[in-house]
Amino acid sequence: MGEKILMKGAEVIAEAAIRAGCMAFFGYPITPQNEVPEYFSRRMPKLGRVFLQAGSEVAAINMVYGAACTGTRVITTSSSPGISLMQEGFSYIANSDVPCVVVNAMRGGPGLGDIAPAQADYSQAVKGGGHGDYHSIVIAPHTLQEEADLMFDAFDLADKYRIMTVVLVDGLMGQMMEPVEFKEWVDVKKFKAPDWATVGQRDRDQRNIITSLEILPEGLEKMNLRLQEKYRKIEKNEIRFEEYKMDDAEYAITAFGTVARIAKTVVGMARDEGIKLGLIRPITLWPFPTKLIEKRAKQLKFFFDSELNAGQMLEDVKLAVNGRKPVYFYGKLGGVVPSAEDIYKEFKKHMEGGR
Amino acid sequence: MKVFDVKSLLDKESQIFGGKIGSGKTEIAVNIAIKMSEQNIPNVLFDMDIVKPYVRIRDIKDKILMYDDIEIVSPPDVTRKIDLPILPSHIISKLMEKDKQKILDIGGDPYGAGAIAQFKNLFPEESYNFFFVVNTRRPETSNTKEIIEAMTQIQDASKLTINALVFNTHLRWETTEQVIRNEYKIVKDVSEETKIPIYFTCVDEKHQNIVRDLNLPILPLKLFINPLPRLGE
Repeated sequence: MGEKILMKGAEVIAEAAIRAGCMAFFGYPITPQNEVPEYFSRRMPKLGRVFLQAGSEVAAINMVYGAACTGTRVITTSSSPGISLMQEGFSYIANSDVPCVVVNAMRGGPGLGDIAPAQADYSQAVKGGGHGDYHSIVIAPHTLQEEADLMFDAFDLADKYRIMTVVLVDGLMGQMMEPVEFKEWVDVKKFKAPDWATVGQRDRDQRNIITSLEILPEGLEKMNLRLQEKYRKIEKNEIRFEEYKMDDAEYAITAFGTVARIAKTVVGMARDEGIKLGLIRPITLWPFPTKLIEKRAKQLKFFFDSELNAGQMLEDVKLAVNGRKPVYFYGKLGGVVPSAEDIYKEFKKHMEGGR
Repeated sequence: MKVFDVKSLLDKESQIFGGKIGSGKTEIAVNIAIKMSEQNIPNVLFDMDIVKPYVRIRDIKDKILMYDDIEIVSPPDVTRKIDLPILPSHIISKLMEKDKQKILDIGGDPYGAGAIAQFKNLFPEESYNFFFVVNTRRPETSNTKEIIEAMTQIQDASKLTINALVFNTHLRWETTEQVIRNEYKIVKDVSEETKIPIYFTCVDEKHQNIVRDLNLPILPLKLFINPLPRLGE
């Protein structure tokens, strides 16, 4: 670890990716994450690595796909409308079993929306988004230090499972500034192209071919089963979450990213008034900490889910709770961010049985 | 410990704040306006930031206007959440007025500083202080060489002359006396090499003791640019 520096969230994403051994960036600018490509554009050429501004998001994601086929650590970053344009590429990447990292700094939608922070792409990120039965690993930091650390993990997980990792943040996590300390640089000289990479036939009997195409249904089913097997393995090994003041909790907020951060303040406000409130914060949104929530349902009077959307993670929380306890919801839409006071007030309405 | 007196700036008509992205320009410009307000010095605060999409002067307008004697010139409210390089439509007439102190917050990096170049003729050489705000704990301004390079680029883009430095090293809530003491040398070297004086240093008004050893006037800051509280606070 080096010394602490004051970083903007967008800069953290780029700097952490560079230190994690990311060799190539392909992307197309969009607010509120333009500082990411700007930072890459200054740093990557100096390091002899690739920065390329593509002609569109569609071009960018296909460049990522191509680079990923060589086993190189590669990234693209965008924001909601740009991520929508990339969905076809995501689906191809999934069925091709190639690793890459995608950052989505979510903004208000649908459509062109606005440039304010939002979390309305949760479902798109965790339920696929593109076509076909696939998943990406989705991780959501709630501080810039966590963002700096998770960027390394994003690349490690992508390589380990040959999968796309999505780092799901919002505009605020991209624009805010906090002191951050980065992990040591990954030594890229130690990277070797994996056996499956399309980097030339070398001493192999046959060329490596990476494709998402399988003409016969029986063959395609096999490809799908292999994917499903991989997803079960990830669900078994890679679920991450944080429990905050949950040991004696009678109520729990469920929230991720920016809202989880505000929720920690809310927990403090409740505790000051003697209310036993805790926070369950999924760090991996897929795989989702279903069993944890199921387990906590026993001790809680109710769950209170809060998001910057109309209730997307709410569905996963409800599936986990499975009717055992009430699950209430408070969301803000279109880029409006609630204050801790707003969330606490809504929470208390349910506590007092007001609704 | 000597508090910086904004009256010492009054021999110039305009106070321009430039620097790298995230160096603290907006916070400092707003606080200079407030300090002037506290001394009944009428001033106009110009939001000329065409770079960052969040937390610009226009986003905290209501809080600033609680103070008397501050007039804000910023793009119309409808542009509050649009990332377009818009300058206020009445900016030229406002820049030409001479009855109030002018405080200008220009955007970060050469790209942001470029927005003021078109008004070069309204800023005769002796009429302004152009402050270069520097936080040595920000990327790309961590040593003398990087800082002078950034100053040159921003000065070239602005077509004006940087003639003042602001030492603004901090790590938000993790700022320590030691960090400030150690890093002061870097900016002092810049000052010696460029012959540009350091006018003042800034500190959160709640933690003024951490700069007490510094032989520099202090500008205690009220903090406005704070989209999210510190974790758990």
